[in-house]
Amino acid sequence: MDQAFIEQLTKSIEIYGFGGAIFLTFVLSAEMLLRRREGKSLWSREGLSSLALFPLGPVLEGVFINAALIGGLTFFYNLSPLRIPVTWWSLPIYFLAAEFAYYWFHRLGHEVRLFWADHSIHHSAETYDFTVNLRHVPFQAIYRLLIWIPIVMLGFNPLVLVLMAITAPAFQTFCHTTRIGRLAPWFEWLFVTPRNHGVHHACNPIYIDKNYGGLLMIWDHVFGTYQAMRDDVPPVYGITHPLESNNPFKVMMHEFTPLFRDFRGAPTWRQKLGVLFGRPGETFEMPRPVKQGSQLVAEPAE
Amino acid sequence: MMPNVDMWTIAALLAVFALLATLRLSIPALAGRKLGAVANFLTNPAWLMPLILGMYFAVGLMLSGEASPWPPATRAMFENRWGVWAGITGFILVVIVDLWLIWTPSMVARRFAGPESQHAVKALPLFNVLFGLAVIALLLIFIG
Repeated sequence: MDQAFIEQLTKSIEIYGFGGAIFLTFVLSAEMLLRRREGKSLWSREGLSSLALFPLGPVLEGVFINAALIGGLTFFYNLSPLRIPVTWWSLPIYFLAAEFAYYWFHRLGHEVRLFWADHSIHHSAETYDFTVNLRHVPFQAIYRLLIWIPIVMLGFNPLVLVLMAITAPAFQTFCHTTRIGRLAPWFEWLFVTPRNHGVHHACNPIYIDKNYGGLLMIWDHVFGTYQAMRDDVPPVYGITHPLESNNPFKVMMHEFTPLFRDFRGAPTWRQKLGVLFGRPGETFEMPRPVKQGSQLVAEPAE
Repeated sequence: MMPNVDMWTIAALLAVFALLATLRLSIPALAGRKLGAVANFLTNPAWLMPLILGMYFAVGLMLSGEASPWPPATRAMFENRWGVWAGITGFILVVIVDLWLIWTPSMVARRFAGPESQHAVKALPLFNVLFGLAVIALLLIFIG
């Protein structure tokens, strides 16, 4: 693959991104209108905080995508002798592969503490509305790359793979809302919907680490992580260690700070590595300071 | 003479299904109505799936001047570059995109909104029309 190919890939992502910007503008404007109709202010404080984090998407993520993702994928694709042709019959295979990659990249973002520190930024919003789309995370291209490398080494063309994969966040633009009720059961089972993606954003024990799918739920069914929303368990949106701040910097550092503290405090290297690569909530942890009035005190051990 | 069948032929066929599924969602009289097996198949919402790629691309192409919100103009552009079937696909895709910009999202929201949101979403159709027309007008004026 040559420079022209990379330019073509970058241009395609740009064109797709332009289109996405129009639909994002639509849902955000609609959110403002609906909030007004519901007697609320146009933007919540949390929504404004998400807005402040939005440049992380187009700027930081864009830089990572261009530099690390495309460059990295191209490098590994060229190393592989395997090639999967791009024809009408292979496109569904590409789509399923991209969904598979999205599922695992997303699952890593939840189940590896280092990556969760990054991905939790998106999940820290406690209001599940269209402004959650703005709450971008800066480093996801890194763990996305880890998942995609083996797939391009199998011969999947990175251009098609990347284009298929960016459909997931594009589709989810329409899913971050509580205003849409239950859709047809088969649709809820097969596709990502506002309701089953709401499960993914909830921190109730039954809903945590469920529904990782991008556009389809099939890989969640395959790997046993699908959970339908239950009428008797209303979702509580947000994360298990609530943020209690709308300061964008605090939003960004909310899970990184305890991660660094636990890494420093872990007595052995095995535990230090566990802090980085273990499952959130199951690694070595120092007591977290919690706000009580104006004083910071240590959270009692569970 | 029938033009040669290629990947664009399949794209055109998928676009027809996506258009039918879009129309089913866009027409309030069809909302929730039981259809026959064939009609149900032809208008199944699963046909909308390729739009996640196609619709965003189409709008992006419009913004970069490589497509137009006016379907015949896009048909001509696509046909010149990629052939007859591409022109047909482009035409149908732009009709779908225009519908989604102007009307369909508000109909989806009204149909599927939960009971507590029904009052709020009543205002969406007018907003949707104004938003969609503004986008299309700006595209036609500034990009052509």
